[in-house]
Amino acid sequence: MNYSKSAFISISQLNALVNLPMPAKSADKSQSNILSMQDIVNTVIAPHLPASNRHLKIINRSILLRKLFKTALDANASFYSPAQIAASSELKHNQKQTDQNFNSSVVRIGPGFEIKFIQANATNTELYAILKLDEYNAKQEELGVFMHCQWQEKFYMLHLQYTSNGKFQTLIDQNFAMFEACFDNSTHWFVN
Amino acid sequence: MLTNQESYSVLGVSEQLKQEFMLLQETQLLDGQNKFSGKSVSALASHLVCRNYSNLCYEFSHYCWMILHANGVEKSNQNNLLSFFWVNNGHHKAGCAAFFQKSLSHAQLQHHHLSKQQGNEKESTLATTIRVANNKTLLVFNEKVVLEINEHQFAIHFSRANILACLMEWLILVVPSLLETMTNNLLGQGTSAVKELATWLQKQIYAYLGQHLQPAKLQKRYRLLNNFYQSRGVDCQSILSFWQQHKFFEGCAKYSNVLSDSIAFDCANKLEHEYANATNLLQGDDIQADSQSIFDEMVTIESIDIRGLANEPKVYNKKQLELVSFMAQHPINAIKYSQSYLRLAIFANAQSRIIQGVRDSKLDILTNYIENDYNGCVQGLSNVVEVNNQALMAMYPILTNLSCKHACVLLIKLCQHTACYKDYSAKLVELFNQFYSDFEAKLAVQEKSDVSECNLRKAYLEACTNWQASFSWFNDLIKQTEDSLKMNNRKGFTKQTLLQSGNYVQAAESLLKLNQIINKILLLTKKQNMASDENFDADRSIFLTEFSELYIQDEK
Repeated sequence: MNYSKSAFISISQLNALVNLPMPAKSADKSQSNILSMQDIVNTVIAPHLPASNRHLKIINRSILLRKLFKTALDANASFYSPAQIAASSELKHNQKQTDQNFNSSVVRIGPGFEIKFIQANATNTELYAILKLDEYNAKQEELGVFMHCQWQEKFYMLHLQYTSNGKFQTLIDQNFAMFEACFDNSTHWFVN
Repeated sequence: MLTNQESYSVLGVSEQLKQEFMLLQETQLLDGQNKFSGKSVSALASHLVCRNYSNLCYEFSHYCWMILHANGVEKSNQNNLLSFFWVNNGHHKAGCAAFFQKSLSHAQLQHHHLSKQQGNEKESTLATTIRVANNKTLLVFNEKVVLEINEHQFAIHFSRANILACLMEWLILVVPSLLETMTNNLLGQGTSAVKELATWLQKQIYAYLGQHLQPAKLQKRYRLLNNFYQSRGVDCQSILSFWQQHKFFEGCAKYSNVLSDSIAFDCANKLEHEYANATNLLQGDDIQADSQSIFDEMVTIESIDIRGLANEPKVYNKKQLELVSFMAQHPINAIKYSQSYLRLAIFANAQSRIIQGVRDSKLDILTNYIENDYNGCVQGLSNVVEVNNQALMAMYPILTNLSCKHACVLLIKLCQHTACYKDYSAKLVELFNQFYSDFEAKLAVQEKSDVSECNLRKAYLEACTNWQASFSWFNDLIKQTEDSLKMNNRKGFTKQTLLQSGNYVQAAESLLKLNQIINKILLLTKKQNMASDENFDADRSIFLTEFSELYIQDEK
């Protein structure tokens, strides 16, 4: 237990405790392993904020925070517009294809969306992620769509920009942590 | 004299719990506003640190029941709680009111004017009723929401939204499955489920706080110490006075407990000062260097591990172990509070035996329990030093066979700490250094990389024989170590009970440290004449009076 040595509480100490001085905004919060539930929910509902990326790294370091994040993610998917649909991985919704140039692609289909991962070059160092939404709104056209994926117990975020006709696209480099997740059947995808 | 007591930061609360309170204060909404008011976080911290959270849990259980049932049982799930507390501004009075008002449009509504029934002008506002199920109703007013289950009524004012949300924010980190458990246990259930959930929450909090807060009784005791020592500081006299004045308080009857608590208090106080000094140093303030004192060189010794000394190898008997256990636990404070240490050794032991006598209903005359005086105690300490030295001497021949390097280090230390050999310690170091450099050089010439313990021992024993022939003091020293071993037939010192080299190394380290402490105490008691008969008689009189008040009160 990480107690102060020979610890005790006096009335003056109690006062000091309950009137804690407002701490300086922790610039070093990324070093911390503790996040509030509000931070976690904010990470889900506002993935476009810079803090969300930082928080996601912290979430991935803790089993407890990952559990809470999953709860928030599941709940969020059913909270908002029909465009925000959660999709779990099901084999029948996976289609692996290989074209004439031996470029392989994977298609994941969930209720209200379809996401396709296409090999961008022959060396397989990059791939395109193309998302098609049945319904989308102007805000999504402007900000793009954020997808979360859960792969090997960790969460990753993908930001896709609007192209046309309900399609959103991004290029994923093989150095990106979730590169392998795109081809894995067990990956869970969530559309925000 | 203690100063700056008021500036104590938070002691007695784990770093994690402190961080969690900080986190609540820092928690922000998407627009960058703080989610919880300072007042709410302070109130929650008070509830938790003072362990006064049962009513809060009871209220919280009702509140969650209301949130879960506001939109009807069929539509409700754990997402209701999540969206209320973290998405739909349920932390805010207005947000909370809006939630319940909005719920009305989804539920079967009935409007009542309660003003006539209540006869209260404030209550004359329109109340709307959400009939959740048979005999379960939510009454929504402008300022509050009232739950009615059969005859049971519970009202929550919307101004409580912030602290209850604050509790939820903290609780979910403590109990990750909270939303699921609450939903499963409350949905469609009645008052008994609400009460059961409140009890369950209390248990969870109790278990968590058990790891992050000092026990309540201990806190109370420390508050007592704080109030007492605030004006007079901690010294041997004030410790005795504290015990005299508070001996009827729970946990303060035994002098040994009071001494330990007082020392713990003093340590905490010092830590606080050290922290303050460090902060000043960082801020560039000049710090007046403390004058040299007898304690300075002991600062690094925190505590001494003596567990092995009763068995592996056996150095002490039970009585000797009792005598050194306090100084092993508090090496620096045993010196600082030498007078208290003497009182502990004589009177605390007597008190333990008196307590046993009371328990067995065989209480003897109190003076019979005091078996020794201060001079006897000092003599006992001198004997312990002698026992330590003999044990250390006996370890040398054993270590020579197990680990030459450790044997050399031990012999140097013995030389340094034994008066008659002290002058030769520099020469001994020189001899050992010469031996090791020659040994390594010899190996290099022979191009042998095998520096086995066996080769080293052989060479070392040869060198020792030469030194014994050349230096009479060295011969005497070695003979003395061999004699000590011959005379010692305790466990670990005979051929049949030999132990690993690590046991001896660790034991030697502890014994050397203990010798250092005991010698300081002996020096101090002699210098300040602490063990005088006058001192002992005065203390005996005080302790006997107190003991008789404590243990033979009824007979009077």
